[in-house]
Amino acid sequence: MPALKDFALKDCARLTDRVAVVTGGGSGIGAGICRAFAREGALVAVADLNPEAAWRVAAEIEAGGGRSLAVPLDVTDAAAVASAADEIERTIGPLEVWVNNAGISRVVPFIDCSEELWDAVLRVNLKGAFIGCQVAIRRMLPRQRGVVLNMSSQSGKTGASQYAAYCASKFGVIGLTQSLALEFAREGIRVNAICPGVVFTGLWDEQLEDYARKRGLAVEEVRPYLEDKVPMGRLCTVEDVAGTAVFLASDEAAFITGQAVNVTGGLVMD
Amino acid sequence: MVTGGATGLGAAMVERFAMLGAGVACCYNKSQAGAEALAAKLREMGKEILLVQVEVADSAQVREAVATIAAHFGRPVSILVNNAGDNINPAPIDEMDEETWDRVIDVNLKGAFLCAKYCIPAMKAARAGRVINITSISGRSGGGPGGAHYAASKGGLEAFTRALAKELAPFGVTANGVAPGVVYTPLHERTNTPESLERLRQNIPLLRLGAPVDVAALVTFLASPEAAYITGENIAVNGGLRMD
Repeated sequence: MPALKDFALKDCARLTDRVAVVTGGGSGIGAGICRAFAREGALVAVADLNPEAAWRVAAEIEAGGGRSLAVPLDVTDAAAVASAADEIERTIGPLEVWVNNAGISRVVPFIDCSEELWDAVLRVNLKGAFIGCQVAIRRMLPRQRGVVLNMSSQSGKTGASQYAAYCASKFGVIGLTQSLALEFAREGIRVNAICPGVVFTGLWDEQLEDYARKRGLAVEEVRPYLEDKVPMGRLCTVEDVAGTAVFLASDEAAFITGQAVNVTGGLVMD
Repeated sequence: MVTGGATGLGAAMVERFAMLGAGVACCYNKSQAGAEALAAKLREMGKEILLVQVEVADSAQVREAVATIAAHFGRPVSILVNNAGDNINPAPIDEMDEETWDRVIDVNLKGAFLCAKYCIPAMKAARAGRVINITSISGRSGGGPGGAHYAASKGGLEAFTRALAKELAPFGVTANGVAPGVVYTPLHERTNTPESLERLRQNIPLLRLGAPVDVAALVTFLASPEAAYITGENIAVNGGLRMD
């Protein structure tokens, strides 16, 4: 359908020279956001717990003519996040876009959910976002300008069985997003969340067996089962999420703040 | 196809679609002068624009308009923006006359239904397309004083959007809502004083009124391939005024 292709906007970069940090940027959705940001002209800091993964994505962006920097980062370590942010500002420039994307996920019956697992999920997904927001916003405040994107989930809008910790963390991310949107709107800082549907990334590979067990399915039946539940008939992709991230990070979304945008193919509409 | 395209938000959408290379059908009802001025401006820049006068609440007129657009461009409508809206005679519910209620529901809700009804067959056949409904913050807030008819129409339009999304998803067609908050248009100059506009502005977290282009940019994003997996959403563009 040529009429729709006309809107690719590929000839006008929307993030030219903006300094962007993406946590969990070494793989999956985060890597997709890094690539999309770089295509739009941003200088991208690929931050990841796994230094090699961060380096691979940054090198790939550089090889493609983009500008990128690999940053080893544990999002749960506030001091490390702050010094990484300082280092990024020293080497590539003032932070303008910060994406809290790093996350972990486990499917486990609630009765068997250990305190350690609960803490780990909340620590990375929610406290990691808190730390990222605070570190980023502190640096954006003097310039009265910046965009924060927090990765929530369709599980941040609606609960799921055997998924209590993950859902609690992602609901929490939306509360964090709304509160900061209100607190910093007058300082020129926008804060929004994205709620993707299921994207088959490394994160899902790790929980595929547990999910199959939860539904009484064979592992290979999981994907068609999930696809069948989505009105659009397919799973979400890294590119689907990255496209929304680019839009929300750009000036095209200058009047949008405090929102949690679903990218779920119609599965979640609340 | 952008309804209510001659003025305000609609004109900004028409302009943005045209700038992005789309062939745009600018539908209007009463604002002929605005439509002609917009068309002249865009044609001067070499953009393709068709003006179509249509009452969106009239089934026969909508059917004819959709056919006219397809004939003119040599291909059917692939992006429909239901933007036409009316908000007349605000009144407390017990004093609101039935004609006022009917007129607002007819334009804002039935109009969107009729335009969708006649555009959808070609989208289904092409297995691609976009329906974008311009809702309003009032669909969730309950609207301003005397605005029950308007709030109800916009709440209805949100629910209609979700129904469309579910029904059209298997055909690769998405349907989404765009919910503006307070956007500065010529209408506000007529209905507000500078003091009341300032009070509105102070209430908005981002501390400014919306501009038509803020809404238009979200509309063209939803029309783009990047938003192919977003459907059934009602995205607010309100400067943080409301987040639910």
